[in-house]
Amino acid sequence: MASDKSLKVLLWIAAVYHIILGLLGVFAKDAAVTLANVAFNFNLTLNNEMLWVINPFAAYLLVFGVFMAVAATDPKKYKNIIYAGVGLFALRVIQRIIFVVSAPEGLISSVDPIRNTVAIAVVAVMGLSMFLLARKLK
Amino acid sequence: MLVLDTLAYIYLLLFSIYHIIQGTASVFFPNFAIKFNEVLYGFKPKEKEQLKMTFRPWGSFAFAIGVSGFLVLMNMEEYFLFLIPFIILLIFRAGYRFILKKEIMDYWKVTKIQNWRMIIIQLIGFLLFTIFVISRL
Repeated sequence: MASDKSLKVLLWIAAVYHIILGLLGVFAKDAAVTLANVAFNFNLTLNNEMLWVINPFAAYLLVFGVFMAVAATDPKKYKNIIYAGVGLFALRVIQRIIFVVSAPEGLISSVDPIRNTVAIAVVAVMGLSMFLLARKLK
Repeated sequence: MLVLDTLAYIYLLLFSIYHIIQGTASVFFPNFAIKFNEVLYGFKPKEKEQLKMTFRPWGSFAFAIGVSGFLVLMNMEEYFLFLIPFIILLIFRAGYRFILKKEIMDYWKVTKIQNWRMIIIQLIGFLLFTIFVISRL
C-alpha cells in the first residue's frame, strides 16, 4: 500500500514537471533559453530552426506529462505504461551522459561535473524508484 | 461505430510505428532524421548543429510515445484514457501548423499542400480518438 502511494507521488511529480515544462515551451518561448539551460544543460541559441522545433518538442513533453498523470490515477492497472516511462528515463540518462561527454563546447551550458552528476542522478533515481515500486504492485 | 473503432485502431498503429521510426532516427541517426523530415514534411533547415542536438531528447520522447501507443493498442478498451494525451498532441501539432503556416512556407519552404496534408491527417486522428474516448465514457 505504501509503495502504491509512493509510486503515485513519483508519477505526479513526473507529470507536473513535464506538463509545466511543456506548457512553458509552447506558450513562453522567451523562457526557452533559460529552460534549455536549467532542464537540459543545453546552451540554446534561439534561431528560426529552434523557434520551430521547440513547438513539437514542448508538445511531446506536455503529452508525456499527461501520460504520467493518467498512469498515476491507477498505477496497478497502467503498470505497462509506467514501464514505458521508466524506459524513457533510462534513455534520458544515457543521452545526458553522452551529451556531457561528446557535445560541442558551445552547446553545453555547464561543464561543472557536480551539477551534471546530480542532474543525471536525479533522473536515474527517479526511474529506478518507479521501476522498483511498479514491480512491487500486485 | 465498428468502422470508426477499426479506423481508430489503424490510426493508432500507424501513429505508433511513425513515432518509433521518428524517435529511433532522431536519437541514433540525427543526420538521417533531418533527411527523413525533409522527405516527409518538406522541411529544409539551414542551421543543423543545434537541431541535431535537440533531436536527441525530442526523439526519446517520441520513441516513448510510440511504445506507449503500442501498449495502448494492445488493450485499447481498458487503456482508452491514454488516447487523451494523443488527442492533445494532435491538437497542438495541427494547431501550430495552422497558426504558423506563413512561417512554415516562407522559411522552411514547405508547400501549402504539404502543410495542409499534415493538418488534415492530424485532424482525422483527433476526430477518431475523440469519438473513441467519448463513446467509452
